[in-house]
Amino acid sequence: MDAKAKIKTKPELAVIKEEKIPHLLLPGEVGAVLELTVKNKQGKVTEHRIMRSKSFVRQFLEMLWLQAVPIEEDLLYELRDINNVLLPISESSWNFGCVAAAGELDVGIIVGTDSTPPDIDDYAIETLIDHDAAPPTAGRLAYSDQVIAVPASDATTSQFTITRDFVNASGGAITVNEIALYVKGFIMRWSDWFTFMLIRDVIGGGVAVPAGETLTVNYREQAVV
Amino acid sequence: MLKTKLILERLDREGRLLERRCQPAKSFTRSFIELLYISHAQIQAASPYSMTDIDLLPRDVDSQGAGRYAKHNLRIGASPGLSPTRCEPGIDSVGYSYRVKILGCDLGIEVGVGTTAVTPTDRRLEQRIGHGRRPPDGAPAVFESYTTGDDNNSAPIYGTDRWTASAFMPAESHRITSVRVKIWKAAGDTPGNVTVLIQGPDAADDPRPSGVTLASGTILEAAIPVDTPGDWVECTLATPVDLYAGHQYVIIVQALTGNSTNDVKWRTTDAPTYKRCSADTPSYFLYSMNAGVDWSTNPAYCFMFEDKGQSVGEFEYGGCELANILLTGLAPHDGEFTIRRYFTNHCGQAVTVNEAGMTAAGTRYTTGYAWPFLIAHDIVAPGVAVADGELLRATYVPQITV
Repeated sequence: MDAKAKIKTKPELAVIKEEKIPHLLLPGEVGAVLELTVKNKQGKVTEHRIMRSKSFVRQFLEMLWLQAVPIEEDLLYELRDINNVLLPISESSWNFGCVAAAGELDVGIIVGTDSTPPDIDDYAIETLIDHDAAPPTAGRLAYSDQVIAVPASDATTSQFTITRDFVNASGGAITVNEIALYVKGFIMRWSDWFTFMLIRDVIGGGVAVPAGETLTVNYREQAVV
Repeated sequence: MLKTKLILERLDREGRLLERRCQPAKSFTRSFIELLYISHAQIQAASPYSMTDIDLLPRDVDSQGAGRYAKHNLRIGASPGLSPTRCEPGIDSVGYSYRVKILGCDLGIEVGVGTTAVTPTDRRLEQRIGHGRRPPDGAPAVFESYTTGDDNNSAPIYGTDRWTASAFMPAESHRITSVRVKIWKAAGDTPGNVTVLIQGPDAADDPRPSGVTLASGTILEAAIPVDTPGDWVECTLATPVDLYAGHQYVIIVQALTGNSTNDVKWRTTDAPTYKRCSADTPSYFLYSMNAGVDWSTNPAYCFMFEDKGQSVGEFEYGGCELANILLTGLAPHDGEFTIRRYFTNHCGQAVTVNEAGMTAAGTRYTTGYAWPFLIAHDIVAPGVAVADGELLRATYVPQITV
């Protein structure tokens, strides 16, 4: 049996130096750059990819709109949550929140195995890879704390990076085919928050995470002038 | 991916379309990414994130809210003209209503005459067209001033022990190019050159200078009048800066190489009638005895000053409205919503629009403040010439495509 992979609860903060901002978006675009890195137990990079995210599904536009208007609790607008339920969301300090602790599956970067192409009406990851709370558990990855680095900019691009590690201590290889970003939305009347998906990407060919290795996902939300 | 269209339409008095421009917006700036970051990271008031507002001042912004109190970060929808737009900070703001109000023309879509290429760190339009009916100034004109009631009193200015400042609030937006102050020195005194600074205030309800200099100029020692009653001296600012209507600023006068026996004196009145200043601390007379670390006020006095500059002309700003979101029938893209504002030219002359942009609100929970931040900026080339009597309809359409 392989030695258990060391589970880091918090990934390294992806503070981006100006010269390292990846330029994959075109002028005028707001979107995300997805960076995937697989490392072995010794920290050696075994796979690295950077790609444009297919990016925002309808919930992103809807949440941005209701903050911008703003839609207050006496008017309401319905967004579809990750459980396929239309919920009456209004503007709130909680909206867009994606602070995620280790093991949390209802907020932050989420991974899955399905390869159905993204669609504007997607509202949840298709097939969730569950959190491995008590490794080894076949087919599961250990979700770390998520970190969000402060914004940076260069001559054309502004960005910040959301980072989460996924440790494979399951004993077998796992292929990640889909990656999503879940955020909170708040219902004032119920004084409770719910989960909404903003981004969903399908990785061509998937990214294999061998047993004992760690996948680091960086979503870099960018605006390019 | 989100892309944005910018549409500028020129309409005649009857609302007939005269010209239509549609261009991809370059648009979203660092401030937009910062507001998104603040929401994603749920930045709390104890450790706020510092942003730069449209007066180029640092502002602490957070994503904290209490209970069911509204939090209007990323608000773009705005009232017309100088009507205030209330931008809730996440707490009960009834007691701080003046802090959470952003003037309608400071929020949402705005237009200007600047032509410099956009950068991500643009924090304001290069030269915004203000709200109102003022025609373009062909030459510098006096905007704010206090020139009457000189009562033969003066405030000494020297070294780091005596800095003085006069708070003022423009009624009309303009680019300040010079400041005139009524000053003098005693015969034989050598206070050195005089430095004049323009700064924004520390907070919405406090005229004390922020410490962030927006513009500066120098009055040579030889130009300082000798003996009372002194005289008006004009100080040209090295780099003019735009001042916005309804915003508070301060003129700081220093004589850094002077001392208590070689000082400059700034004429005052002890019966001030100048009333355009902050709502909560209506003092126009400020002084510091420790190089600007602390400032004291004295509402019994007002300095003799003039603020001179030029306006590029004014449009009447309508409200900034957001139309309903659409998510079907939009091929090839998948979703969009519309942000729109009407501008009416009643200034008597044509004004050419060369730039457009948008601001959104950012708020502070602890003390209940709201400020506007530039989230989008575009150059319109060639410019759109809006004749007197015509309307300009400016529309941003953010669109997403999966």
